[in-house]
Amino acid sequence: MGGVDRFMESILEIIPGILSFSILGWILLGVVLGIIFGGTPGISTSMGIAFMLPLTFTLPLIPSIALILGLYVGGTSGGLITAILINIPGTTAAIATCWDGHPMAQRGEAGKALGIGIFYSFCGGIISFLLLITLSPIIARFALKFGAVEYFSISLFSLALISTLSGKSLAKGVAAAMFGMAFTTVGAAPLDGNMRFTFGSHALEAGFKMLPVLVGTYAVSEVLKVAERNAPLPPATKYKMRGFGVSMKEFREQFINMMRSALIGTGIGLLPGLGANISNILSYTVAKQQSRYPEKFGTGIIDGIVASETANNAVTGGALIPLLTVGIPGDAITAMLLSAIMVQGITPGPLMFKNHIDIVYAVFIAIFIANALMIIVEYFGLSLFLKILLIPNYILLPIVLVMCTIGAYATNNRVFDVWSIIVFAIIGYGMQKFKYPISPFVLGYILGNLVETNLRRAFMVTRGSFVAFLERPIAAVFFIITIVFVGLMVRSRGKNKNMASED
Amino acid sequence: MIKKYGDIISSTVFLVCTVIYYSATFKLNTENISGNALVPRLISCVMGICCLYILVTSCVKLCKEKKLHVNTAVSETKGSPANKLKVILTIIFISVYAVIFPIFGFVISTPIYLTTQIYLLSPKDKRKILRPIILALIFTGFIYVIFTYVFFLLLPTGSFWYGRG
Repeated sequence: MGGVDRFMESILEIIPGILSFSILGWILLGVVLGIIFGGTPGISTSMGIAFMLPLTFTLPLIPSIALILGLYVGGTSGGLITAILINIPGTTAAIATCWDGHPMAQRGEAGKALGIGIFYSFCGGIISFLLLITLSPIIARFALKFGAVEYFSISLFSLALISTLSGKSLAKGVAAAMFGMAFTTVGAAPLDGNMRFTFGSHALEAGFKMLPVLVGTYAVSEVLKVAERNAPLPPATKYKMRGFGVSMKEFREQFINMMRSALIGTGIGLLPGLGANISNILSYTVAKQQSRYPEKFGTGIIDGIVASETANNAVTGGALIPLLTVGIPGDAITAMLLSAIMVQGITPGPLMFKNHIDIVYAVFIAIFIANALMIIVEYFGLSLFLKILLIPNYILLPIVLVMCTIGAYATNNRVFDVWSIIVFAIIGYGMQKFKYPISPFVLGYILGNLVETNLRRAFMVTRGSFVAFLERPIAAVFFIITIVFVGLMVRSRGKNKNMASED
Repeated sequence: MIKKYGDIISSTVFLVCTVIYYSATFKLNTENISGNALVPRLISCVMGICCLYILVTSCVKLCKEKKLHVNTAVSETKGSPANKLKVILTIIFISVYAVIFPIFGFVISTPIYLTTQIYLLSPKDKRKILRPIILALIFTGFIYVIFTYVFFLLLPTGSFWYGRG
């Protein structure tokens, strides 16, 4: 009880600071921009955050967190608007929303489909928020026991997970992760500070900064992709909103579907590398399997929208758990949040719960407010958003490019960072063209330094013995899980290949 | 082309990069196991194994297909050459923009870049020169105000104008 009381006291202490008009304004701006970025087909939420990231570096910590979390929540939900009205998901997080949302819209129930989507996005966000505030302090307390060996084993586990689960080829996933890690080895080495792979260039001595890597691979490479397949959007279906379109009876009927989808979403968010793009499809599939009328899925029933929208927004809380408790980002967006926090000289992880608890609570409160603002803004501003979302990409994308370029330059006043953006954009575009997944590349880059520092530190402690790594129980568990998981993935991919060749 | 030989091309490129990367580790501290060459060497080894695997399996697959006379290139949907040109031109435009904006400054280079880029990406039936110019000027002004007065970021004024007056 004491712990809960202390938690409530601390929350009450920090609320006045967070609830200032300026912070609410940053969250509101984030939510509005998030809905626009997430809702515009061809522009992803990651691209939107990458676009705003340089600007957050000029803000104090709490406003920058508020802005990014607003973008995250707004962007994850925003995809439903075009998914329902024009059958093109604004983001991959809303793919499954199309399957029942658009048939409902075609039947003249667009308003009801939109209302349900917005309402259950909010429910998913709030349930994952509750799980976030409950689980994070427990995991952080446990993570305080972690040393270099444990951090190395967890980072390795994260890399293995993302490499094996993203994309169709395991070898390509691992190669992409290693390629990303290789870029972190340029410049001063961790622990000894010796220069590596600089080839006599002074600009390379500082290494590649996180911002150009993220902006290049996520934002600019996407622009190149859109330049290649620039197609006009179809007209939107007409809609009329009357409330959220959910009766008490429907809410009761959908309660289990909602809770199950929220748990799936939060669980997917917790796992590194998986995000809302997986959770909405997985949750939809499970809802269909568990339903008494699976044949009706895809014809325009609310169950499909509830499953998809609850699960995709539930990822937001889940993905924050590993970031706050162990300092390992769950997806691209939390990687950018990590970058925004680290630029202010604070490293997320268990010690943040001890030394900077105000920041942890600020994240909790900001994500709650972002969800509350999302439901209000998306509901009342729907007609305005639809007008903005239908602005052609050929106008929006060059503006995004200018903002990214200028933002990257203005952060450090280095033209090298602008060139880095172009290089990483070409790398990102090329990798996607040759079917190499981007997420392992980015996570490899983000975790590279953590892996190297902890591996070298661990070898110093164990005097070069790897066997000593296995004597630490937590690390041993993670090593075993990693080996078993990779083994299972290799086996299942092999089976799938054999089945495909037999066919 | 990419569908048929993509894996062979990409794995070969990665393999060459890996060999160069590995060779460069000989200049690093290799005296003890926890030296700064440890992780780059691990990366090169894992990456090398993966690239070799991709290369070998794609070569075997190609040989099998040739034996069975299966032509995968038939099913390939070719991207329009005009769109590929758009990608190349977009990369060139961004690169030129990166070169000129520190020299001529934000206010001069941004409208030029935005006009050409919007014009390039516009569908053929909507390509009118006046519209991109107006949009470019409006957005340059908007971005200037946001960066300078909201985020207090210094935008490059351009080295070309210094020492000319």
